[in-house]
Amino acid sequence: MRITQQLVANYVRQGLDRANRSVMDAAKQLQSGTSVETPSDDPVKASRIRRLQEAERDFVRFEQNRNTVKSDLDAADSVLGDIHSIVQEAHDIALSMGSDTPGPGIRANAAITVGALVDQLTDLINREQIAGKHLFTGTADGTPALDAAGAYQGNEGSRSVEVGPGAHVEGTLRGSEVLGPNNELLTAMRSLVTALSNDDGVATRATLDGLEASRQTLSAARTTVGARLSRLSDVAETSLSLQTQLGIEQSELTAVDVAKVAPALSGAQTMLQAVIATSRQILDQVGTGWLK
Amino acid sequence: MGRVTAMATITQILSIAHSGMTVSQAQAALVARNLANASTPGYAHEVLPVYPQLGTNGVGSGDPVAMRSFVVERSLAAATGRSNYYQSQLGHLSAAEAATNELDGTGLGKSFADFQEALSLASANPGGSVERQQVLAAAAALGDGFSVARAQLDQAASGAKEQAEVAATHVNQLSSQIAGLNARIRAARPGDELNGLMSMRSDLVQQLSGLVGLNVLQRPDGTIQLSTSGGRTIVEDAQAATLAVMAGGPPPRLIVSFVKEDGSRLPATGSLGGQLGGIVDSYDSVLSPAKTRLDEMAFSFMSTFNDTHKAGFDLDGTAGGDFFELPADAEGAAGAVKLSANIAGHPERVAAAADAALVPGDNQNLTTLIGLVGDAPVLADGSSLRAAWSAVGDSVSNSLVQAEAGVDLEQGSLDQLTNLLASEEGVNPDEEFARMSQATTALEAATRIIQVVQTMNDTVIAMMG
Repeated sequence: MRITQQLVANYVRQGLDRANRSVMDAAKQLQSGTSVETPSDDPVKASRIRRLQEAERDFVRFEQNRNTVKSDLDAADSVLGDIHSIVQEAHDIALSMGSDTPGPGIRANAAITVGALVDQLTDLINREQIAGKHLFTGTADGTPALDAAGAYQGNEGSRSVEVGPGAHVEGTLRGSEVLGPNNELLTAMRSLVTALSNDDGVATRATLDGLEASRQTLSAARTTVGARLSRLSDVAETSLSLQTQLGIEQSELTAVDVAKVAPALSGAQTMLQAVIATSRQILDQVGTGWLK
Repeated sequence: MGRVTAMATITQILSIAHSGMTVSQAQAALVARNLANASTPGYAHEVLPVYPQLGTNGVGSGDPVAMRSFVVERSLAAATGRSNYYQSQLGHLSAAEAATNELDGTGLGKSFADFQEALSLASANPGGSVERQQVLAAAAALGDGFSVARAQLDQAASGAKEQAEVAATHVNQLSSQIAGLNARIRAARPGDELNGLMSMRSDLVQQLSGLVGLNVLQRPDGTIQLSTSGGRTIVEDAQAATLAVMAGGPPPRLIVSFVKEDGSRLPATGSLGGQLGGIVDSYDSVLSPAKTRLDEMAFSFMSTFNDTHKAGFDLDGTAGGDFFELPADAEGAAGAVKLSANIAGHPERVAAAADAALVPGDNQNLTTLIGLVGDAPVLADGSSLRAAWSAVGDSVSNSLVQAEAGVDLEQGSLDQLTNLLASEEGVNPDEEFARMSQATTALEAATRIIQVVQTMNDTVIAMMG
């Protein structure tokens, strides 16, 4: 092969190009901190990273929904507990006032107590929650469950919210689930007030079944809420585990192997220096040799 | 008689020495020319054919011959065309990739996710005014996302078109110069003039082959015919075709045509190759389809979203109206995604409920709307918004990977051929130095012979008294 001046210049240029490319490739990875900065770096990895990122965003979205639903259900659970206590107290009063022992004065006082409990109950049921929402209204959560006369003004709708991939949890309770299909809770409580006010032991005893049924309805509602909260907790746990896996997989896909890239960068820099030094020598010889 | 013969012999010797001196001088001049052109693009080193002169017994030289390797030149031209075909695609495809790259957590895909997240949050609290406002804000941001992606793709495509036009202009300039050189080469005298013209033409052909894939046909009269791989002639004898690039379609594409002298146009056939071919192919097969697809996505999405939204009920239980302002047709839709006047500034009009009797807490319609931003089929071909956008990104990045691989692949053969050509045609200073020494020595020898003959002549004259 003839070694011409163009050939030498080509070798120098090609060597510099190769060395520069090697340095740039290695430096780019170290600087960006990711092995896949653009899809064309590795289309297969990039496609997987994109899917993982979408899944991660979905998990964030579901987590926000879980928080909202949990907040609603926690509030419902708390209120249901308070209502349950009120009903229990009314039941206890009915039990003690249902015997023949208490006299008219005692029953009248008890009537006042139960009347206060009814007001407390109504207040609890109608209490506005965070963000202006009301409980036990189905999906009519913009208005209180009971009107001034104690009639139910919610609806029988329910709101199912996606809280995990393919997992839905209802975030609402209908009035019928708490008050009974025909508002039996309030009816029983009011009947007790009436019976006590009338100093009627028989009628007082007669309210016990209704109160007990309401207590059971409330227990069932609390069980429902508890089951939903438990499902939320399960979904949260599973989601956290999946999110952790996603994070690990993503970091494995994008991580720069410093132990591999750093020596590569060092090697590329050495190669570049060698090419420059060799080129200088060759050009010196070629450029001036024949003149000497 | 003997005297006449002796004088004739001396004259003969002087003539032989003179021919040697002439050839040596020509040789030295050629060495100087070679060295002076050692770095001249397209220059092939020249050698001086030397032969014995019959009759006079001297030495003669022919016209300098350029050591041109047409086979390697043709191969290099082809490799340059292939390399530039891929190289020219890198810039535009990289720009398009920036528009579709989701790995940095920004871009249109993020806008989809944000809008979906806002809808999802609202689905957990459909009556919430904050959540409803977030839906409108995210929808407006989605419009911006579409618009930015469209603008970036548009910029990449416009850049490609402009560069194609510049490349065509450059092709026209080069082919015109080559045609002019063809005419001069045909009329040139063999020797330095012819070799110089051919060197210039060779360099221009190499440049032209980078712009468009070429078939080079050598004619016996020294001219060359240049044609594209599709068979259209660019240069024939002293005639050069004129290339023009214009936008055509539908679907939108770049049309390269060969303009004839009468103004009529012949469309290019097949891939043009070279820089121009690379730009045109990336425009036609990637950039333009990506823009069109993005417009289709925006239009279909807005249309479907509006239909679903209108099937729902707002906070007051009123049937939903248009959510987005739907343009007249899909073309340019991605650059015009915006909220309808009906809903802009009215978060209460987001039709979250599927049943008017279940407002404000019903989220059934929102659930359907969330799906439209996710995996539900939205486009005419059954693709979801996410899948369609991913496919656009995949198309761009796969084309970019192919182009990068093509550049790497062709760079190897390009380097080899460049080196081979430099080895065969280039100037080797050592060789030239050797030739120069040879010429100098020959010149000195001839001079010495003349001196000796002079002495002999003086001696003979002295003897004759």
